Amino acid sequence: MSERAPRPARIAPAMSEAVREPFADPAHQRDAVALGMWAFLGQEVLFFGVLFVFYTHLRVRHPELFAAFAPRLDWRLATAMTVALLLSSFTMALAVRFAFVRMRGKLLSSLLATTALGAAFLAMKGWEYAHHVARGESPIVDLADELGPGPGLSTFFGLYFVLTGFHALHVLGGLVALGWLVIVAWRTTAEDLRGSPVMAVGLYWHFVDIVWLFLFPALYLAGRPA
Amino acid sequence: MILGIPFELLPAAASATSGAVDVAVFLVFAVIGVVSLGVVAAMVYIVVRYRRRPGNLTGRGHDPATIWRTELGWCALTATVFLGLFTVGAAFFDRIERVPADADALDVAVTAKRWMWSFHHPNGRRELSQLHVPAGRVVRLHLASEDVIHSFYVPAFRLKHDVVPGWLRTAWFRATAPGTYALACAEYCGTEHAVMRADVVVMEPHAYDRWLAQGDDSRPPLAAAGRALFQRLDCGACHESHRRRRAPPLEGLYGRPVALRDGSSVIADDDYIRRSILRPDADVVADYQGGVMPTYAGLVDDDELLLLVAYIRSLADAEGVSP
Amino acid sequence: MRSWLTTTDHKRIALLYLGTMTLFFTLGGLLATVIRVELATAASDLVTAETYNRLFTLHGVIMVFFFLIPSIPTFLGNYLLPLMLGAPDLAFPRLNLASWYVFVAGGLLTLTAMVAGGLDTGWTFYTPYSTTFSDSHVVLAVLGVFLAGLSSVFTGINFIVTIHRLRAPGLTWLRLPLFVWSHYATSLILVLATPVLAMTLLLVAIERGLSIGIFDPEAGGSPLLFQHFFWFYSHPAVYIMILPGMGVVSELIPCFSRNRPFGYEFVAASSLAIAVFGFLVWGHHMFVAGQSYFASVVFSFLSFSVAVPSGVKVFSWLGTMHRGSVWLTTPMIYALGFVALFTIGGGTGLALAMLAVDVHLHDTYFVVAHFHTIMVGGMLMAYLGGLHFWWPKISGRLYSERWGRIAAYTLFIGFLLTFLPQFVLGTQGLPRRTASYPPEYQFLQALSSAGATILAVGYVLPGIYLLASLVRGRPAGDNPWGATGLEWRTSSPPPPHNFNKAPVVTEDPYDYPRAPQPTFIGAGDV
Repeated sequence: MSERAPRPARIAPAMSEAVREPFADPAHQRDAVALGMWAFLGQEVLFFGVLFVFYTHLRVRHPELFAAFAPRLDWRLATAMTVALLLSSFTMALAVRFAFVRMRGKLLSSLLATTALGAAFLAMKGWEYAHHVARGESPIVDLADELGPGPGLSTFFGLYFVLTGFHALHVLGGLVALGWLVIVAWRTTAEDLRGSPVMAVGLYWHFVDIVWLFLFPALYLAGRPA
Repeated sequence: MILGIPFELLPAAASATSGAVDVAVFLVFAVIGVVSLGVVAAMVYIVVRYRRRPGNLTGRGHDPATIWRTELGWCALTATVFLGLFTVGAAFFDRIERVPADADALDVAVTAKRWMWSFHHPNGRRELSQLHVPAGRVVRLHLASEDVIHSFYVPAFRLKHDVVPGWLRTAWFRATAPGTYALACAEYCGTEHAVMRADVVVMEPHAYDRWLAQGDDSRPPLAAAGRALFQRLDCGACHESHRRRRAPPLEGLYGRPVALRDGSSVIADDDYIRRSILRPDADVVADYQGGVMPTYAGLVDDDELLLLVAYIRSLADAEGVSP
Repeated sequence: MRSWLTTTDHKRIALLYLGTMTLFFTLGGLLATVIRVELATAASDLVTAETYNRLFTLHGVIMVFFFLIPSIPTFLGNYLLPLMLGAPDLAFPRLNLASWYVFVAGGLLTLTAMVAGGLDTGWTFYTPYSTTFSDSHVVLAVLGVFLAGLSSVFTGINFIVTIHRLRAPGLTWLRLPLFVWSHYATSLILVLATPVLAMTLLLVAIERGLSIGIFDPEAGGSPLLFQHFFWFYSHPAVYIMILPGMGVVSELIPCFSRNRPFGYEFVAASSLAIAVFGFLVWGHHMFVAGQSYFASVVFSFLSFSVAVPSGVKVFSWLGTMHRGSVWLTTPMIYALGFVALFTIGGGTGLALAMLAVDVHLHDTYFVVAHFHTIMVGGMLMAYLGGLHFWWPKISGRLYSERWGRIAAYTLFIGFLLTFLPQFVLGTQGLPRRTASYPPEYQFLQALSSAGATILAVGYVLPGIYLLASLVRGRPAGDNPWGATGLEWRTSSPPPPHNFNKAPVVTEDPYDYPRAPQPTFIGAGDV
């Protein structure tokens, strides 16, 4: 990240909420919000990193689990989910652009499109979860383990649920943030639109999307014959 | 002795490696002592010599050249000392870690379980909370835990090794002097962790032989018990020599490298044998098919695994049918 | 009251943290008192072994996660960073307040676990004991610690952005106070290490509920994997605790020596070096856990590498005092106590980094004494030193300098008496975390308990005279110590937005030879 010359901090003349923000001007604020979000995403990488280390451990120690159980995951559905997220990243990028150029109507419609695509992803995910739980393919339902005691079905699906579960929670968090942006944009006139919150949520949304782009091949395509 | 109270910084050294550890301990303690006392002495000197008083109300500072020269010199000095300490520590650690391949080594199976230690001698004799060993002989410990992580710690031997469930670890010592030494669990393992102690009784070799002979003869020797289990589980159906095409031979296997089907190679130690019994397809030996051997997880417990390992170990010097 | 709970003023939030952490520290201290009384005799007679295990676990969890890690950053850092940078507040004031609420929520969860029946896993939560065998309230406790971690992440992000984006005009990187440098390094660790602990603890909680087998060897997982994750956070966490303390001491020593810091660039760079190397040494907690010989050798080597920048710090502090005008005020006594105890604590860390030596000393009282020397001896001395140094700025009042010095010396002596015997106990081979012990160790254990009573007096005294100063203390004036730094250019306590006129920095930091002389004159001082 490039280092800019520090700007003079604004000294607030009064103690109202509006002047509490310690920034001199919108560009300064945008800069700071972006840096803060990047730092947050840095910690998110390590947060998911733990899960990927665990994944690697299992993949190396017990490749047979992936050969046995990965085919039970529906890669066609997962492809549809991938498409939904990729499209949502595109509409999110549009939203950021429209926010900075203060096109309120287009901002609202692209935010709503992003929300809808994210919700579609979660709906598909929920359907997939219900499907696996119903077939006993979850760590919750303790059905007969095909490989006998030791690592088996519950280990693989435990991994699957933990990895995708934490990702789905992040998507859900993103949807909440998007809903908040919609409400704010709805209430604000075009002249008062601020770009930096949209940009921050956008960065977050792209990150969540990228995590999925790792999860998709790692879980759904692993262990398949070439 | 300090002030009439018996005082020893380190417990009396009683194993072949404890001398080396003590040298390292005294070396690093000397460095700590010199540095700490040096820093304190320097502080006292400076506080007195440069104390705030009329005529010395403002510091006189240092010129940048002095600062850079002394800082870099200090870095070089400390780095050298640290490198020396590191080298000594690593070299002695190698001696502690490397299990000697003595022909007359005594193999003792150790099982840790909350909150007691049990020992299984090669001739089948078992004991709880006491371990009898001969002086002067290498004792190889095969460590297994039935529940949580424990740690096998004999301060007099300067020996500590974690006992991790799911792994078989090997540690060793050679006691130098007869006596009774404390064994403690060093890894917190629950309510009675504090009293998970045992005595290591080191005996003269002939006294040890007598002790061993006194034992309850009804129990078969460790390797024999392992062989009986081996037969009961019908492992020989594939592993005995005339059926070699189905499963790799076990004679001369223990402690040697094994080539695997994926091109890598592992040492056939306790842990490898354990893994191969519980997860046969995890490491398939080169030139053999996977998916032939069923898993024995759930069929044999940790104690029985130690018996099977002891049996396979007893075949270490047996002649296999070389290909 | 309400204006405090909804404040976004960093100074008020810092004081909220001070109050909360003082409560946690008192609680942790009371637990330690019971532990030391129990250990005065060899048998477990005052409390049962089961209770003892809960006592040391909660002492560890509360002290580490709810006092040591947040102490200096969230109180002094929160209060001083914007002042030192010439900014009206932190970059994200509302996030700052949210951090405090999350921290309190985490603390309440942990206290609930304690009241509901306690926790007996040790603060390290080692698997499989914590996942399978412990029947105490592990899930509640790990969620509490998880929230405390989240609060740390927020604070770290806030500090990083503030230091990057809210420096006063002219305040270039090489003009930053060393306190700011050390907080920058600390924040990097907070942001990059905490999430690993957070996820690991969540996995422990999930494992207890669903038993997926992440840390269970029979299901394909590994208890050692937990240790790797845990120490990947918890070793850098040691530097989270000590780096801010180093920052405080780097402010105190130049001020009370009236000298520029010896090798400013070296001290600043060593903070960053410690933060970076700190990420690469976690394996030295696992030398006897069964990791490969090669891994152990590498981790041992890297651990020694961290000692070089730490040595630079000590050398620079001594150099700063050399040719200075050394004034033994209360904060300075704490600072010198820190230097001495940090040297001992760091040196004994070298013993533990040395492979062959660690085989003997690992998981004994030597380790307990080592980290208490760094944490209690080092960190707490720095914390109290900083508290006394900036107390006139924060409260606007002067405390009793005579009582301050008495308390500082009491603390130092009590500390040595408590923990030096524990180094010996460990070397003699007494494992840690034991409710009872063989009688031959009793003399040193009793000595340690006796020292702890002196230590306790040293902790109670500042509480009394600092509170008394709020009522009876003389007004401090803007700059009683004659210190440099922007925080001394505003009133005591500072106005809501810190400066009435935006400060502009035109000179290098720590220009003590040309700084104004102190307005504060203590007993027997000139």
